Amino acid sequence: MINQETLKAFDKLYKETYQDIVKYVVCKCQNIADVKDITQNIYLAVLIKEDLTLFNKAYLLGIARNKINEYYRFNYKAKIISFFSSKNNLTLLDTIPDNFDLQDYLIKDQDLKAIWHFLKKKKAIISKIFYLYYYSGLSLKEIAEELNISESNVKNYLYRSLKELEIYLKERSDFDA
Amino acid sequence: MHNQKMFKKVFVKEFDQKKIYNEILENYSKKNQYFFKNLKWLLVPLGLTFILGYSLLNHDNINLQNFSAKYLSNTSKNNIYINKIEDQAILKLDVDAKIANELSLPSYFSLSSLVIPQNLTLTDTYALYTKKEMKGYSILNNYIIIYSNAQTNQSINISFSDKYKPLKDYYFLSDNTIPSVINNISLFIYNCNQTYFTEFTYNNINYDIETTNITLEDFINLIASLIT
Repeated sequence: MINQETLKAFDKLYKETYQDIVKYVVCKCQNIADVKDITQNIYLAVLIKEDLTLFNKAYLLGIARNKINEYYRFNYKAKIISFFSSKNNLTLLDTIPDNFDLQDYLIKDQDLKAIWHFLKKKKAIISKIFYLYYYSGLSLKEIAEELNISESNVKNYLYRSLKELEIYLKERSDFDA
Repeated sequence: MHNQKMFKKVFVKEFDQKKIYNEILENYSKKNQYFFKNLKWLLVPLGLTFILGYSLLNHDNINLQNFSAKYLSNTSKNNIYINKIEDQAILKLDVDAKIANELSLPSYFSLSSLVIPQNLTLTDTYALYTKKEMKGYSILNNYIIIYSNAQTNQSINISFSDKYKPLKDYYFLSDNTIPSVINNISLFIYNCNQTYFTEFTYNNINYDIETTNITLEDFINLIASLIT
């Protein structure tokens, strides 16, 4: 059983660090669908320690790094597959409009699950970009720095995936109709 | 703008902070229940023997902020904290130890880098195997290296593995454990009578060290020699 003092300290630590830890796990994971499990593992490892007042964000990030390694060591090895062939890497940044979006599709509440399903099936880098762009509100440049890829690749990934997603959602919508 | 909000909503829903919080607490309770429910199976040696003993010691923990030792890096962060053990549970494990020689030790581990007190010699090296279901001892869990001096009753046991946590025949029931920092690596140090223990992970290798009748300085130097 957890005593009230520990629970209170855990509660505080969780609220203070949750966003940063999830962001870190998203950036380092091999599949966005693993983020929830890994995050739980990290905080469970913290919870079993008695004195939580000594934990801070830096220490938690250390635990996160170990837990991510542990998770993939015991679960599976990721296949490293390049999303674009080398010639596609050269797609011109200028050809993509700056404020791109799903062009003529308005996302509905019932699409949320389908979008998540779509992202889970995509390469990890794409779901990471979606998370950092739409959830964390990072710019393309910041995402490029965070994921150590070029800004044009970030833009390409995002633009292409949105196009694919638009087709996917339209097809679903037509099918449901 | 609408679509951007909806995309954000996907992640808010999937990484629901409150929901994950509740699941962590739920899993924590389940884990505890599972542990106690399956304790007898976890502690069965060679089938069915289970020994559990407790020794109670009450001491205050010691923080040695300005502790210095020869192999501690001056440029790295160091803070030694000795956690005095209040409860120690002793158990027997269902394992098979096979004698290994120096040559059969894995390449990621080097005996030559260890800083061992001069009066101790390498006396044993073991490979510890566990069972895969009931099909015999086939999983190499960890290696154990033992340095000792029978005359002075001193010993150092170093267990390590790059895949699993080294097994040991005791665990701690200590309150308020505080991590130490040696050469920038955080780890927990425990003390019980003349024995020091530590466990940590460095370069993806899990270590577990137990020393008997070894000075704290020698113990810290040994750890520091592994965390370079």
